[in-house]
Amino acid sequence: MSSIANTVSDIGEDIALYRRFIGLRLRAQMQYRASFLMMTVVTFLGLSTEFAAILILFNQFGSLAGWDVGEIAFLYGLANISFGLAEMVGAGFDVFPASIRRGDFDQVLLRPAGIFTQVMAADFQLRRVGRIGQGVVAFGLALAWTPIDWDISKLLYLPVVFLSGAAMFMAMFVLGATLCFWTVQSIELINILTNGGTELTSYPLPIYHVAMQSFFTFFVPLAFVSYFPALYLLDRPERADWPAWIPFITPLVALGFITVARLAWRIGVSHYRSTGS
Amino acid sequence: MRLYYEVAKRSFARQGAYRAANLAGLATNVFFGIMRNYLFIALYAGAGATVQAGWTVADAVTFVWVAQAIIMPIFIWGWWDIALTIRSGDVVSDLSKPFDYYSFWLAQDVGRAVFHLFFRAVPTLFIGVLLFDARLPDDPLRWLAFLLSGALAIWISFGLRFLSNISSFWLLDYRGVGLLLMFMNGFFGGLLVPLNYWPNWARPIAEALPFAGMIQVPVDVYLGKATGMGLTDALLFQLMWGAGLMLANRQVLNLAVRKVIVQGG
Repeated sequence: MSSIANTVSDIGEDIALYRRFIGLRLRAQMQYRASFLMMTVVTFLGLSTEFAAILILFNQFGSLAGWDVGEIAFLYGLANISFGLAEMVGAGFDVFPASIRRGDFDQVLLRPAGIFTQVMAADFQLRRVGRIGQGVVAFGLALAWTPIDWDISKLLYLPVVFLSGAAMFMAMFVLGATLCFWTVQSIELINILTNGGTELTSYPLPIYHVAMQSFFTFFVPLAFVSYFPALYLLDRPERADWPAWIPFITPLVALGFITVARLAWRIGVSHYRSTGS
Repeated sequence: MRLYYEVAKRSFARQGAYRAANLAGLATNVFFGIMRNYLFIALYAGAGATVQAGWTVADAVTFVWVAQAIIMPIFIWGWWDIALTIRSGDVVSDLSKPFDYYSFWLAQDVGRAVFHLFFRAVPTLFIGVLLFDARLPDDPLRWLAFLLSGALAIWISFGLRFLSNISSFWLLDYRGVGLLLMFMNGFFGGLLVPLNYWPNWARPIAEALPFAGMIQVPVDVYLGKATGMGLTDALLFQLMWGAGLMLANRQVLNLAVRKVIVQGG
């Protein structure tokens, strides 16, 4: 029992620590208010061109694999809000390779605080609300364009989808950082799954090759970020191709994926040898 | 001339040092190529018509792969090399060296571009042709026109990046302008959606901007959409933007040099 109590109080301490770190970073970023505003606006406008691109394509082609523009905007909103949340919270793992190279990670190991929390809090960019805001606009338009048959279970399900999606992208940031324990230099291979994954999940899964569909369903389960949740929320006919419970295992899949990432991270930490520089 | 050749050669060699990063980058180009390849196949399958806005599905798929191939040599991404020297003050010693500052940086960029041509563009296009349905031009003259158009595209891209970098003589935060440029390159260049699919009211605007000369025009030349007088017009359009940006950059640089106050230390 006492070990459970200890774990709970450890988590409490980590959360308090994380909030203090983030508070520091926010205060620092607010010292350069004009710079922060400019970067946020540029990020928002810049990412809006991605959504504008989708609108231009649909203006020309009308539909994609039987999905209309509102339904695609729905997928796009899910993907980008989830990714934006993960990017904002997990940015520390993105800048992690540099701290391995410089040897800064040694300091992290010496401090009497959770390693995971410290790395996660090493970077926090409020300007990333630019991407989340952009996803929210797209999602809002999707709701306006697509009639959804809302009921209580769908309303409860929606926030779970956002959190699960964010957790899956977060897991990928962690896995990308974990690679650096072995490679030392930053291998940006994980960008394929984070940035690439956001674009991939903005379109319905069946447009891709069957091998890709299986890969992103069973191996790297990005299909659960937007496609399976959308099948349920939008009552798409493709739902009949899958067991009825598929959309509902989304949080379990996310939990499994993030557990794998944390396990890999822990192995990485124990494998760590300082660069000595 | 010899000096710039050496500068370009060193820049080429420097790129080769990041072997793992280059492989990862190549994998990323190929992944985006595969995604957009299937996106266009599905769009054409759903639309029913074989030709949309003058392009067949084969044209669209070829565009996807050629665009993924050339975005590295042309370099549409954020690039802060000059801005960082302005921030650190190293720019002062670069400006006082006995070479032409603009040409020095252009030579570096050419070295980088040639590296990316061999190790990013060629393998990406190779995969697109071998494993997917990207086509190669059957006319050797078209290859020549494409190479010329690609070289001009690099010149335009360099001009825009140079301009955004030296803006940091005046602006304290260089990242905002560079990030904005990166997004405009992808959107107005036609990488996200080729300009021929754009609505009639927006298309002429995008086609007049320098970004079109970076991606859309070279791929049009590759696809054989610009031939005869159209080809001459396309190349002249690129030449005009490349030269215009160079003149503008030299003017702005002169203004900046007059303004620089060295703090010393």
